[in-house]
Amino acid sequence: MIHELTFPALSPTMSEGTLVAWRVKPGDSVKAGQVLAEIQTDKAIVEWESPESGTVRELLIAPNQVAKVNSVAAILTTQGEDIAEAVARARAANERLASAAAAAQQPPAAPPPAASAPPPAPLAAAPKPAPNFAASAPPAAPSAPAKPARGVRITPVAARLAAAHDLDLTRIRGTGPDGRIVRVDVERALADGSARRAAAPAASAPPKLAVLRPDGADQRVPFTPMRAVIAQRLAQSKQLIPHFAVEQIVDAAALVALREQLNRLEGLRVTINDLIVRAAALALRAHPRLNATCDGQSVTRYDSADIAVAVALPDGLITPIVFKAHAKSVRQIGEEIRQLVKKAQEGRLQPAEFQGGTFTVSNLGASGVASFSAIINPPQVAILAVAAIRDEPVVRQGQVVPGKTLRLTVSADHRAVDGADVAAFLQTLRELLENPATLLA
Amino acid sequence: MLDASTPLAPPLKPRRALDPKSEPINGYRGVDLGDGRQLLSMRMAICQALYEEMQRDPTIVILGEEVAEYNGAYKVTKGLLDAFGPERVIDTPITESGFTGLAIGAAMTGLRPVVEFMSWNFSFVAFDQIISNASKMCYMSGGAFPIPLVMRGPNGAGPRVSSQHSHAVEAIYSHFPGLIVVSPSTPYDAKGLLKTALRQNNPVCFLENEMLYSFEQEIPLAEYTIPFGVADLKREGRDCTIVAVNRCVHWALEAAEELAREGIECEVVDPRTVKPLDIEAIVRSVRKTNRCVVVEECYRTGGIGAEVAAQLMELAFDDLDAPVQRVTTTENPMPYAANLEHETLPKPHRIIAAVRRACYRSP
Repeated sequence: MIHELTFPALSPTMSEGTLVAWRVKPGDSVKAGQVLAEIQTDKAIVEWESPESGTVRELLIAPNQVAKVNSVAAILTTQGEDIAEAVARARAANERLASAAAAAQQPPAAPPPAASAPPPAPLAAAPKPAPNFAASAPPAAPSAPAKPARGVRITPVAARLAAAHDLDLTRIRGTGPDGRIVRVDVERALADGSARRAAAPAASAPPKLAVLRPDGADQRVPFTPMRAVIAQRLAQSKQLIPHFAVEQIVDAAALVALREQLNRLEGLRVTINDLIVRAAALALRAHPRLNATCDGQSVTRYDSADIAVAVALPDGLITPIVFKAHAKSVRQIGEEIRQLVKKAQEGRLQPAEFQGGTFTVSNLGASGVASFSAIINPPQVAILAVAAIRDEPVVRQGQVVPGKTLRLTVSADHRAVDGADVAAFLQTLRELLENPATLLA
Repeated sequence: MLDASTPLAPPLKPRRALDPKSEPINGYRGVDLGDGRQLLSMRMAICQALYEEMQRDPTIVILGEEVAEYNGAYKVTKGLLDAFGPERVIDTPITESGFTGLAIGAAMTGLRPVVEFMSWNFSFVAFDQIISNASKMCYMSGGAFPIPLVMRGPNGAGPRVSSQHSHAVEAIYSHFPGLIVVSPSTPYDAKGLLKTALRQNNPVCFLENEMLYSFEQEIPLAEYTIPFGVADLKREGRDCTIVAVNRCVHWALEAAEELAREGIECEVVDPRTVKPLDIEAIVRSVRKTNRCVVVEECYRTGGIGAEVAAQLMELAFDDLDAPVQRVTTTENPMPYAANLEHETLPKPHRIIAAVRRACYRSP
């Protein structure tokens, strides 16, 4: 039996990954469940276990090579079969996968101008509405943007011929039934050159702004897999979610004093961030509307405050989760966060450790920023941006005195929560942080 | 695959026809044309194959209704009783199941019987013997009893023999593993394939056609055989492949002539044996033409066309420029009326329409 082991999708968003290192070599015999390799996903380095038992015959992906999910990565045999054919087939399939992915990255064609939008179908041709069985059916979801009625219809041999000459199928007139493109149509297009693609508008080349200095002082850096996921998810968040931000100023003198006491007298290593995560968890329990996710149709509110903590990495960030933060002490939270940060920096977080939070805390306090607002980490409905504690004048009992202030900014999804919800949450959070003994209760 | 040792098929049209006043139109001796060729009809070519092989191999015997004294219902065995005597050319009662079973037993015990069905329609009476015994015996006996049996006779519609006597059985018998199904369209092919059938040890359904018995052709005087599973190109063309067997080859050639006048050049592939089927030859042709029409006298459901279309989809999907078209006997009992029989059979006018569809021409 010849087993072709395909490069696995180790996270829900993974479409490619880097094979960091093989743990087996050709000739090794492996058992199902044995680790074959380490794979860098868009989030972490994960061990890949063999789904089959057998003898490793061929490794088709080199260490540190980026591979598409479903590429054939290794070939195992159980009986020492001849694998020449399987190897050839696998290499061809891998190339196809890679080139298909490259093609998919071409920008989509510009949408047609509004004037050429298809006219509404005449009434007689409109499909009958589906029978409505529910007496009070909910209103239909907003309809998806109109798609073309159907794709190009083309016979297999015509498709093959067109692909071989890289013709633009949308510019070939099909003379078969229902406009099906047949071989003669492609031959005609080849003869008159009418379906040649316009010279590619340097789709993947950098835009004009980014003309690079020829001496190498300028650099174009392709996205790492992690950067690509961040780009995609955050762009989607900012485009889709109606963000609004609410800022609150906290008098942080008591908080700073508490931290000093704990670390000096108890020998702990509590950080301001640990205290804020604890405070946020308690505030979320009091304001569950913010401890939620939203799918555009409904909001799901959670009992447990599972707080994602943004961790900066050399080129990106990741948000490992302190689960049940409301039920953990400041000290437990602190220890957990330090462990998660260490694993994140080593790229060893497991998917379960960074998937499924209900709220995010992003802290740039260490960088001394005055304030900032963050982009929501979907599908969550809110994110807390924590700035630095600064020495600033404050007014106490009518007197301007030196004080310590902390600016907290919550960005929230206006589909799911309103300004008053966020304001109430921030009010509770401020009370907790200005009376920090409550965090130790 | 054709190789250098396979003689090229002679042209379909002879330079002249047999003269019934001075020349035999049946029997096993063709008319020697003096250039290494002989002129004979389909029934004579089959008879000649039987005669030559019976001379070579004393274990060959012929059984069937009227095969001896009457020289065969269609005169295919004419002269063989005189040549080989009543022990080798045996008239049977009207008992297909009985004499087919007898022949299977004879094959098990060392003879090489040839069973003539007066019509393949009557083979249905012997269906259990053919399917349960002939096709299985070698397997079930662990190879102890191969069945070197040739069953032959006319197949397909005769002229106006109505519902029960017009069946084409290529698809039915191809369905069962263990049977070889030969369906020749010319005297040359029939002789070469029947000689091959008589030199191998599997049960063979050899399907002739009443309407082709008088079809004449010039074939070599010298001995030749044609291997099973090798198709023959009956006409070359670039626009559309027509796969046709038996009598349908001639209808396909007629349709191809007509279509050539409108600029469509058809390639006619004659598989000659339906099982084993020379799918490579069909794929080779479709790679060239990108279109295929399958013509057969079997019914549409589960017919030869269904099989060829499925295999083309598997093996030549990327070469197709149009759906594979099937021209079959329409799925109704054969009417007795001549005009209705004409519309039921896959005649040239229906083939022409199918080729036009495959070529996206208006019908």
